[in-house]
This record gives sequence, C-alpha cells and structure tokens, in this order.
Amino acid sequence: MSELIETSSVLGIKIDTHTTKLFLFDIVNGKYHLLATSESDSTHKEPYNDLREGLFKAIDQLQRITGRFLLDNEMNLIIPSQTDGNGVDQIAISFGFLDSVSIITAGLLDSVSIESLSKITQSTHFKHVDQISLNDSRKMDEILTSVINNNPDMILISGGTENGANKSVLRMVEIILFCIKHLPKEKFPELIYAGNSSISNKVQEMVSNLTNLTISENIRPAIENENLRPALNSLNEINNQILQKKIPGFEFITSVARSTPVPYSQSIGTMTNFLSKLSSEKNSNILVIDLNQETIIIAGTNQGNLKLNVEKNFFHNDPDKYLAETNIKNIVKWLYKEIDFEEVNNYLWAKSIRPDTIPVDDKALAIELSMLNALVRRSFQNFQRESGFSQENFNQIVINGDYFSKYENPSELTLILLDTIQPKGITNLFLDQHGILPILGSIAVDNPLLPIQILEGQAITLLAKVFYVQSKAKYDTPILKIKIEYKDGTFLEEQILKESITKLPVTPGQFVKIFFEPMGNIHLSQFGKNIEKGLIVQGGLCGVIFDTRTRPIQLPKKSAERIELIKKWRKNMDL
Amino acid sequence: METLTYHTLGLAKIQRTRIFPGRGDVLVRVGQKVDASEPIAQFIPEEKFSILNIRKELNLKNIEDSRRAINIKIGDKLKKGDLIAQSAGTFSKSVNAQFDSEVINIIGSQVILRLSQNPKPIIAGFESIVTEILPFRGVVVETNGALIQGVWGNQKAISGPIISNMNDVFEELTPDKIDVTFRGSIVFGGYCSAIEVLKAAIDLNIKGLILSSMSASLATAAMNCGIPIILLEGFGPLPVNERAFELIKTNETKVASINAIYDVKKFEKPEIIIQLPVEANSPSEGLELKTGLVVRINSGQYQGRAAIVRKINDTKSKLPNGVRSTCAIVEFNDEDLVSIPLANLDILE
Repeated sequence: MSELIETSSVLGIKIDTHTTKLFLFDIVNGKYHLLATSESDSTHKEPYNDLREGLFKAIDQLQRITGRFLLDNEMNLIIPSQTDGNGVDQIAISFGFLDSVSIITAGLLDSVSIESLSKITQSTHFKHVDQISLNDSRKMDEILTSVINNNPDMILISGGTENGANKSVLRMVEIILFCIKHLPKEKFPELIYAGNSSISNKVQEMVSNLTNLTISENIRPAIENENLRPALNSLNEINNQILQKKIPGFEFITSVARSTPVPYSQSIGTMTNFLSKLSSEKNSNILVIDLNQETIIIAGTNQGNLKLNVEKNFFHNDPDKYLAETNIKNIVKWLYKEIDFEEVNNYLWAKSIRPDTIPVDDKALAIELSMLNALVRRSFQNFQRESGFSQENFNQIVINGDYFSKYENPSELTLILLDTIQPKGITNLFLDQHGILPILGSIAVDNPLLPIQILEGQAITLLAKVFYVQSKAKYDTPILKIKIEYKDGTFLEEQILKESITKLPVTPGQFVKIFFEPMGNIHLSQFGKNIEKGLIVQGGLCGVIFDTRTRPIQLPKKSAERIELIKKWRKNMDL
Repeated sequence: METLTYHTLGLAKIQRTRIFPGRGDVLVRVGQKVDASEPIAQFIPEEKFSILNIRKELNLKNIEDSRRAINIKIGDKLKKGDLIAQSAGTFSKSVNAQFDSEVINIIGSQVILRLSQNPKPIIAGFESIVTEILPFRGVVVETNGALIQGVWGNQKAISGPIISNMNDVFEELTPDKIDVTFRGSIVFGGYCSAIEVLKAAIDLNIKGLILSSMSASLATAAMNCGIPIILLEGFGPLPVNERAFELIKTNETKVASINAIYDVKKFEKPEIIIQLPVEANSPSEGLELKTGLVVRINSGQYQGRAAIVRKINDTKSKLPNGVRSTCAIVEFNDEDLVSIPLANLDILE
C-alpha cells in the first residue's frame, strides 16, 4: 500500500467569508488518518484586510496541537514534508465566497444550451445575475441595461451542437460584444466560449483583443450529449484569478495548492456522487446537507443523477433578507415550550443583529432549535423546487455537524433531520463531525485514495438507522411489535405506536438482529425482502429509530396539544 | 468568532468614508462644513438605456442614409423633444428624444442613449468637515466628539439637540412622556413598545429617537417612520447600558447627529456623534477579547449589563441547558462573577 501513496501528509484548507479551517492528514499504519483540525475567523475584512492573518492563526493552532511545524521562519508553508516531520506534501483548498464573482450566461435554446448553462452555474458559487437567450423576450436596450447595471465579472457563452446553429451563436456573440463595449474598459468581463467548436476561431476573431477570451469544449456537443467538466474547469481557473484580485491574501493561499482550488459546491457534488457509489445499496439515493455560516448546500442523488442547490445562509449574511423570508409562524409551530409570539419575535430580531449568540436558557434554546428546524426545512424545500428533486426515500442522509457542534446531544440534530426531511423507507443518518466533506472533495482531485480511507474511519459517524413505518392506523394505535435479539442471546420487545418516534435500546456501534411482527394492516415488504428472517442493524449515536409519523407530519392546530406532542417526541429521543 | 466592539467614547476623532457605487458626482469640496443630512455626493443606482434604430424608424434604405439623417453626435446631452434624426425630402420624418438623455454611442444606424435618471444622494451622516475627496468614488468626512454606537437603526440621519427626561436606565418611553417641549429635538428614551410613541414623535416634529431598545413588533413601523431611530441595546425590554446613559445625559441639550444609515454587511453600525471643539485620537478598532476589557452582555439573563472580563476559558463549558460553548468569567460592578459565552459579549470601548 505504502508504495502506492506518493503523497504522505496533506493539509486541507477550507476557507470562506467567516471561517478558515484546517485539516491535517497523514499516514498512520499504512493508512490515511485525520490527525488534527484547527479553526480561525477569516480575516479578509477590516481590520486585517488579508486572509493570511486568519490562516496563520489556524496554522499556529495546528502546530501547537501536533507539535509539527508547517511554516518556516519566513512564514512560508513547508512543502514537501521534511525528514524531521515538519511540513506537508500536499495542500488542497476548498472555498466558499459565494456570490463574490458574478456571471451572465448566454445561450440559444432553453432545452439545450440554456439547460446545460444552468447546470454549470448551479454547481458554482457565482452570482448568476442574468441569462440571455436567443428567444429572449427583452429588447436589445433592456439587455444592454442589464449587462451595464450588473457589470458581471464574466460572461459564459454557449450554443450550437457541433457544426450546428453557427449563425445564431455568432449573433449571440455579437450581442454580448455590443453590450460589453459600453462598459468602462477596466470593467470588461472575462469571456468564456463553450459552444460549437467549429466557429471558435471566428469567435476569437470577433472578440479580438477587446477582452480576455477562454475557449473551452462545447458543453453540449450533441442534443443528447452533455460535457460540462471542461467548461467547469475553465470557470474554476478564471474564478480563482478573479478572487485573487478581489480578496486580499487569496493569491497566497491558492499559490500553495497543488490543484486549482475547488468551491464547496463542486466538492460536495463530487463526494455525494462518491458516497452514492460507495453504498452497498444498488442505485443508492443519497442526500448531503452542508450547512455553514456562509452557505447552505444540499446535494442529492437519485438513480445516479446528481442534483445540487447552493444558497446563501442569510441568517449570518443578510439579516434583512432572513427576516423578510422567515415566517415566524413556522418557528412558533415547532416550539416545544409555551413562549408568546412577542418573545419569539424579539428573539428573532435580536438574533438578526447578533446571529452568533448562544442560547443560555431553556426558552432561548427552544426558539433557537425551532429556528434551525425552519432553516433546514426551507433549504430542503428550496433544493427540491430548484433542482426538481422529488425523492423522499433516502438510503443515506449525511449532515455537516460543524454548525451543530454546540448541541452536545446528537438527538437534537437527529430530530431536526427527521422533522424537516421526513425521510421514508429505511435511512441511515450520518454525521460529518468536522465538516470534512468539502475538503475531501478537493483532495480527491490529486489524491483519490485519501478520501476513501478517511471515509472508512471515524470522520463520518452513523447518527441513527431510521425505519419509517407506513400505516393508516389511528393515532397511538400499536402497529408493530419489534423483537430485538442481542449478541449475548437475550431478547427485548418493543411496541411501535402510530404517530410516534421510538428509539430502540441499541447502543452506538452495537449490532443487533430485529424481527418484525405486524399488528394490524402493515405491509412488511416496506422493510425489504425476506424480512421474516430478521434484519441485522447497527446502532448509531442515537441508536435505531422507528418513525411512524404521517408524511407530511401533521401538527395539532391548538398550541397546547401541539407542544405536548412535540415534547412527547423529544422525550422519546431522550431530550 | 470575532467579538464586536461598540464604541461609547466621551471624545474621539471620528472619520468616515462615504463611497458610492457606480456612476456619481461629489458635491462638496475639501474643507467644507456639512450637516448630518446634507448630500455630499450623488449617484445613479441603476442606469437605463435606449437604442434607436434610425433606419427602421425613418424607413430608410441603408446605413449611409441613416447616418446622413442623424443630427447629433456622441456626447450630446438631449432634452425631451430634441431632434435626433430627420429624413430628407418633402415628406420627411423625424425621430425625437422621448426622454432627457445623453448620446453615448452611434453604431451603424443605431443611436444608443443613456437616459437621465434621478440621482440618489449620499449624505454626510453627521456634522463634520470634508477632509478628502475620492474622485468618482466618494468623500471622507471627519469630526471630533463623543461617539456612541448602537446596534440597529432605520436608515435615516439628522442633527439636533438631545433632550431626555430619563432618570434611570430601566425607564420605558411611553407616549405620555413625550410632550411639545421636545419639538425640534432628538429624544433619548428607554425601552419603547407602543407605536403611539412613534406617532407622537412625528406629530410633534421630533427630529429623531435614541432608544435603549424596542419591541420587535414596531420594527416595520420604525423602518417606515420619517425620523431616524437608533437602538442602543436591541429588541425586547432592555435597559440602556450605563456608560451610554451617562454619556448622553452629560451631553444633554448639545447638538448631536444621529446616523442610523449603516450597512451591516460592511460591519458598519448606527451612531450618535456629539461634536466637540477638541482634537482627539481615533478610537481603537479590531480589539480582541481579553482580560480587563469592559464588555456588555448581549443575551440572556444579564442582557444589557456591563462587566469586566476576568478570565477567558480555554475549553468549552456545558451550560445548564446542555449547550456547549467557550465562556469568559466576567465581573459586575457589585463584584458578582458570572460565566458568559464569548459569543454573548460585546466589547464596550
């Protein structure tokens, strides 16, 4: 194994507008392990105005934790690793900075180039400020107005399958050039052409020396054929160049990376696809939720197709927008304590001023958990709507635990997932304790072995195995009897009631065999084939859970009844 | 996580840079004295363009005919109705400007016009002197005086004498406490929960409100209110911190500028500035939380109270509600020591 591993130690840098987080990996006993993490506030804004300050603080922490020097006397990163153990062999970077770079896309037809352009922009962190198409209903002066006012950093043009729609594509290029000529010269955007390659030279001629032009492979070489990766790579490179100019210190950080730094969205997309293939289930449906202070990224696979949605976490970045989009009734609805509307409203507005405050009493905690519930729910609904993702059954749901690390009891996070995603079927809930997935996705570009070995370890922990039970029985009716067989041969029986959450007495990591006995009209086939022989399951941090609540979950209208019900569910989750 | 600093200073040099996005003009010169609500620059928030195809408009045969028909040149400023192009012949047709505009380009038979828009003003925000002009970008203004930073404002600014009938930090500002003697003044009050206070302030021509806090149910009304409103502490029933209380009471009847225009994304804060005729130093920025600093507790049971940091813990503690957080031990005036999460502290400097 060791001769296959050319790179020994790897430093992952995960950086966005709020946080700079470092991950140090190295080989122990022939396998990659996560040795340590460290974190600092990002420092590209006042008073430091340079990302390096935050990076060096985080490196300093890492050096103290590991006893390993990563910087030399001149504050340069030591690459490669030295015989004395100092330094690292590889640095990989994944970054946020959502909406820091703006893009206009221009294509021909909605169902062809426009569709592919949308897929590309959805998996980037660009602020997609406009889309121009051949059948654009706007007049030319409106398009000109939009380009001037939006003043994009780059314009991505596509259209025409190979040797197709030559005239239309050239007309589109003319329109774009006409518009950008009316911008101040120093504000001319970067142009990327990723359309019909037979006219690339003509496009080059037309653009001439007006502005920088990058020619990439056609994103839609044939109607039924899509080829997004080359254009995405070009966009990533140009994005990095632009960010280097816009964000002080970004150039230093990216100069030490082996490969072009990758935005969180693409890293998460890579890892979601990878997790889907790793799963023992055929055609595994995976959902990955990466919630951090800057972005909320949700990625899902359905029959091998990846869908992704990236949005800003307005709570931390645009409090006015957060307040405008938040329906306080949705927060009050999920409270497990009686708290009057005025108090919830005051808390919400106070949090909009200081989003990082910690809830110190039970009431504040109740409001805060309900706010998180509303945030995850809305983000998931946005993901479903924007990406057309309709899947309800997930083999695996993975959530970034960084954001939730202040809630010590993993049952809080588990319950939020069950209340918001409301998965059907049998689902494994996983916790990415350190928020490591984005960095694994960026490391995978040069070192595909590392993510595999890290995922085999403790980085992603099983939160719970969840069984959703479909039944038309009435509230509180026993619908299922579960017999749990432990390794020592002992048995335990549990009765599962309708509209309940039941946490089986299975400890984390423990393997048990469970047998199902229906009580009433329950189809055992919903749990899989040959279920009468029993099912071996492993307990997660929250054991094994049966969720028999109707989908979508119905809450009583009267607040006293609603609070009692939510309290009951929390009690069943040991909260 | 960075701890925010809120200045409450008796005397400081206050320098602020007002930048405008996009195209704009500076309206002042270096050395000019400006009022809080005086425009110092103006800019066009959104441009609008019009493209006229003269060949089509005049039904001409070719581009050459169109160019001959065009009566204007690049850079010309047009008023509504001005002639842009006219065809020759007995039955000549003309194209006139539909709006006030500027000719920015003529390409082939197309005339591209930038339509005149009403500019948006950038105001000074406080009584100050212009110290620097940033060509095509903005203005730097400066003054010396007391500086009190708040936590929320309704995006308006004004100057006026400060007046208050507050006797202690816990008082609530109710409609009956506002009377006609407050006309033309900036009123300093405590917690406000009655919309009638805002209405009374408008009716009595009060220039602005400085409140310790406000019920969030009034937030929308406050945003739409015609006068500037600043909150010193936040939302919900909160007393004003003693430092700010003393400082404002000491400067009662003096002219203050309240600038509730701020961009939270740029970490700006709403401010009260009381100009004083004394040279001062700039306040410290980017302070890091450490022992000895004065802090304000911004959440929970002790919200609004000031304290001194005595110790910052290295590791996370578990709070009574089960939440884990890094905390600091802080000491109140009465020498009580409490443990507060770092995230729940503001530095008062």
